[in-house]
Amino acid sequence: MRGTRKDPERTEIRVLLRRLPLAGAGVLEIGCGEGRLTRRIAGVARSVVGIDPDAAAIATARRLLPRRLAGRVRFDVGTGQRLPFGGGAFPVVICSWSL
Amino acid sequence: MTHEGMVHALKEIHRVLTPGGWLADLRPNRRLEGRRRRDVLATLFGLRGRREIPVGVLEEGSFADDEAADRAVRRALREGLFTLLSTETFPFRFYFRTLALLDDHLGTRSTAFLEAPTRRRLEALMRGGSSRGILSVETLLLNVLRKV
Repeated sequence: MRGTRKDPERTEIRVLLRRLPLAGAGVLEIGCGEGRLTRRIAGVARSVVGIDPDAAAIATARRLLPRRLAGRVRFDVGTGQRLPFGGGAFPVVICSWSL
Repeated sequence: MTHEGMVHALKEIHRVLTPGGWLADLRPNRRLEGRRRRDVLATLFGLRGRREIPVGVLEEGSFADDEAADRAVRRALREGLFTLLSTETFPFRFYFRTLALLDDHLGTRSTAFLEAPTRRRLEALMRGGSSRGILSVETLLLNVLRKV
């Protein structure tokens, strides 16, 4: 949203990088919203799938995704209660404000 | 999401994780504060020049979701799905150019609200020519768990 800035200091991704093996990993982010954190994770991860139940937010996330990340990031509408993935698909899952 | 929904989501996450996989549970860490034991979501500051001037807090109407999430995580640990590696909190800063933008944000956080005296202080600060906007500082909680 114009006129708002969320975490421009990048504190959230710095804390996650300190605690999780994100570098080169396949990551699932549940509750990705408009993809703010997803894009930051994609800067270091091998691939990221972001899901959120809000279809409008997912449409915005897709629109805001830089072309350079397009091959490594996917956004889908979905919830944590029904994950459309096979068993053992991700080494890292991040629940973003979604529990 | 209900408590049972959260428990189910944690089981789904356990299923899609690789053996020994990592789960980060990241969410606001609401807290009780002060003599009035207010439910605080965030501390608010007016930005003027380089100064961050404290003006009050964003209050939280309900802890129900947080308590349900805490219970769901405890249950997943009890059931042996995960081990808890670490818990920490950290500040998360959210900047708003105008009070209207803060109000828009509050519209997305259904149980958060701004008390009238805090709103008046923000309005007074925003009227000043050198105002750079509003800063909301929330405390986020990060639980790091590993699949057993």
